[in-house]
Amino acid sequence: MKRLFFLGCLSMLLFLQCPPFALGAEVGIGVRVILASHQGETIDTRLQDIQANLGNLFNYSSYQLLQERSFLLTQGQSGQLPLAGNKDLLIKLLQEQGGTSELAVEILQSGKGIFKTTVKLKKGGTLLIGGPKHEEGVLILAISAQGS
Amino acid sequence: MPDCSRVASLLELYVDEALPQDEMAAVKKHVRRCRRCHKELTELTALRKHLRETVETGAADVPLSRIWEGVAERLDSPTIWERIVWAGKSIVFPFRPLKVLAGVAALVVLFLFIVPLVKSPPTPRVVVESVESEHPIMIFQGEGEIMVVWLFEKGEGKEGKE
Repeated sequence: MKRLFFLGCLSMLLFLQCPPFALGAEVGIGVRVILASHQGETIDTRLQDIQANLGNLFNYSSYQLLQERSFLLTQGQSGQLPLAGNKDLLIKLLQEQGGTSELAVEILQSGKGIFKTTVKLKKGGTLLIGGPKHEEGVLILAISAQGS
Repeated sequence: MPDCSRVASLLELYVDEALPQDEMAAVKKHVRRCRRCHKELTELTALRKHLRETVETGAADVPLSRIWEGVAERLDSPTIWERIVWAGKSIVFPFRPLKVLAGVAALVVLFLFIVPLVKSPPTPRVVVESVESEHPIMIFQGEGEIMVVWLFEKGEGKEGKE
């Protein structure tokens, strides 16, 4: 009886330590397309949460949110977002494990891949991909994991 | 001749036959003549009888033989073999329910709160595993939970501070 009790307790502890079952879990991925430029000194109020980071990382004076999109992806699923300049952003959820999402992020120019990266994002983490020119500034893509 | 109130206070001792002889006689005489005290004596006697019967019946239901077996077992000094078996049991099964519960609670706290802190240092929220690009790139860590990948298009200087 005591042994059974102990085995039960140990099983419970092991179960608690296991990552949650993630089969078919959906992961929210948020994408914001920001135009950074020296045209004016306005910062879009919708960028308040990363305003300080943008100011510390780059020396642009203006940050405008051009697009905002959320994808709810399961393993193997992709989301596509058309960008300015005949570009497309392609995000694929490679896997989700223990709250970390592994993503393949690709930028296509006229259907041809010009940039590809594989990143692991935890909830709350943000990947900024910047540089593609647009109008008088550059595009900064902010990709965030919103959790499952 | 004692009055009723005095007799009432002596009735219990009278039933127990714990009064001096002269008082026993006086109470007896009074009870014979006084209807109220006689009734009180009758009730007291009946109550005593009922209590005695209840206690005796209850005691008869207790398995005294089994209790005695346990007592005798404890009184008998254990043999060397019994001592060895008990020692073995105390080593193999040293646990008591409360100790087990306390131990389990401690383990839960250890596993849930302390072990995760100790076993792995905090990992960054963003890890760039690989990058393939036609353009030159720069990767740098921003403040907080931000990682930056910067693409340098042709003829462009970097605009960032880093």
